[in-house]
Amino acid sequence: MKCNFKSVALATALVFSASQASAATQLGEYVTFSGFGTLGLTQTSDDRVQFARDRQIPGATNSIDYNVDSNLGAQLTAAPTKWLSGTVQMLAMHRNVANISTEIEWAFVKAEPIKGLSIRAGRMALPMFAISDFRNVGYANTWVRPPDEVYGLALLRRLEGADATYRLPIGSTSLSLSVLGGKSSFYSSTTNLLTHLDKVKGANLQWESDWVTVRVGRVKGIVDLSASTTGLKEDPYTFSGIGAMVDHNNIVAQAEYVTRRSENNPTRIDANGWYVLGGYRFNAVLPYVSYASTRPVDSTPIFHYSGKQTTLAAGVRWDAFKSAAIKFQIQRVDAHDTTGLSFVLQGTTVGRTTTYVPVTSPVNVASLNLDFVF
Amino acid sequence: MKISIVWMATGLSALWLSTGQAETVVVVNPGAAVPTKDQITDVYLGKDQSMAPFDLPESAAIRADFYKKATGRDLAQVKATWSRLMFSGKAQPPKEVADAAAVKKAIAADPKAIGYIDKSAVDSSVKVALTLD
Repeated sequence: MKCNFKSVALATALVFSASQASAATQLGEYVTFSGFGTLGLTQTSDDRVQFARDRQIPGATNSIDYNVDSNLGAQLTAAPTKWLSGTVQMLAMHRNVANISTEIEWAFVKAEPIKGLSIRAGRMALPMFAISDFRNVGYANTWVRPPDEVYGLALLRRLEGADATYRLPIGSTSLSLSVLGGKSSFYSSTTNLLTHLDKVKGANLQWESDWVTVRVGRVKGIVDLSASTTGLKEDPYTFSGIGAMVDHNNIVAQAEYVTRRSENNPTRIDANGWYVLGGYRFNAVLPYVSYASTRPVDSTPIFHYSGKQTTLAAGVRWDAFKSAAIKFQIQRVDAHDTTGLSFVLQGTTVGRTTTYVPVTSPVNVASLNLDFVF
Repeated sequence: MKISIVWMATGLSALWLSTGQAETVVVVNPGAAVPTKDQITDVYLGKDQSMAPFDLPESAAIRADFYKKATGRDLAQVKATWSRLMFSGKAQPPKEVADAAAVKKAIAADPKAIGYIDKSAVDSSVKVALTLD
């Protein structure tokens, strides 16, 4: 399975970057096929811990690993009329189960009954971040991967439900308000439990000008804990975020701050995270640096869902081909003697108590990625 | 002999002028309202979805010229912008057609269509909304 995935990703990357394939292919009058992918190589300086993204298992060590960033996505959009469309996106990537899995990321119907208003129903990404919905599309982003200190905090990802977005033009800028409702879930490889969330609702406000985008949003939900051993039935969960993105006169900058809150379990869940990224575009070459940080609100929990962690990263994006970019990034990840956030948890269980091994020294990570769209 | 040299010089300078001063124009349906430059920028960056934009192939130099002048971005930036919209299900990129004749044909058939062609290709089937230079 791993080998198949690798060779498919590689073949696709080569075919599409060598040819002058443009993004999106018309299939008949109403259907568009498009795809994206990343072939990513990751290596760390430390074989005692495994570096992972979004709670993957296993993670990368000091031998070259293909699994952290490699993925392959395919999307079909059918638009039989100007106001109605349907989108399905399949994505193969390494998730928090022990091998590559292909899942349906998106499956929704979108209607635009009046100008500026769009309503979607089905499965879509929960908009918890500035780039929630294209975080897996390497080509669409400056960095090699989103900072785990912020993007790894969410736990949840998908919404099964509906959302409505209204875009109001204000001069040469625009304001978009979006509201959502539905259900969600998350799988924990640590507890091997799929946890459901009901009554998920949220709102996002985004202001966009020619060169700056500012976004503020919040998602709430009720975590169903009836299957857990915590003794609690449910737990209200809130995730809030504010962020800004700038692309002006070749200067690229991005920053976000997020908070994760639980009503009944704050010592284990509550955490804050933020990052800043800055870069400068020299034609096709864009060097950048970023710094990211997260810490639990309660600094002395027995077990926390995420520990303290900071990452300093430097990298470069090179738009070497018409539909593909090469990226190289080095980063220093410091878990400050906690379990951190980007490392596979290693625990020993005695009776009912599990003790996790802290990451005691900073880990250097190097990544070389080819991102492509077709 | 003298005459032929003069003719050659005229021919060369005409050639020089035609390549050096190639002008890209944005065209719409003759019956459509003329969009502003801001609106054209928004349409080609996916912010405004009230029109149906058309692209020329990436191999055509006019495409890079159009995006640089109309949006201030190069083709790689434009492609990254569209991949964000496309893979979040927000919008579909402009439809690509082969040449100026195909752009004019598409525009004649759809009052919401918009495209860009070289000024020399303009005829009565389309209306010039903006000249980019």
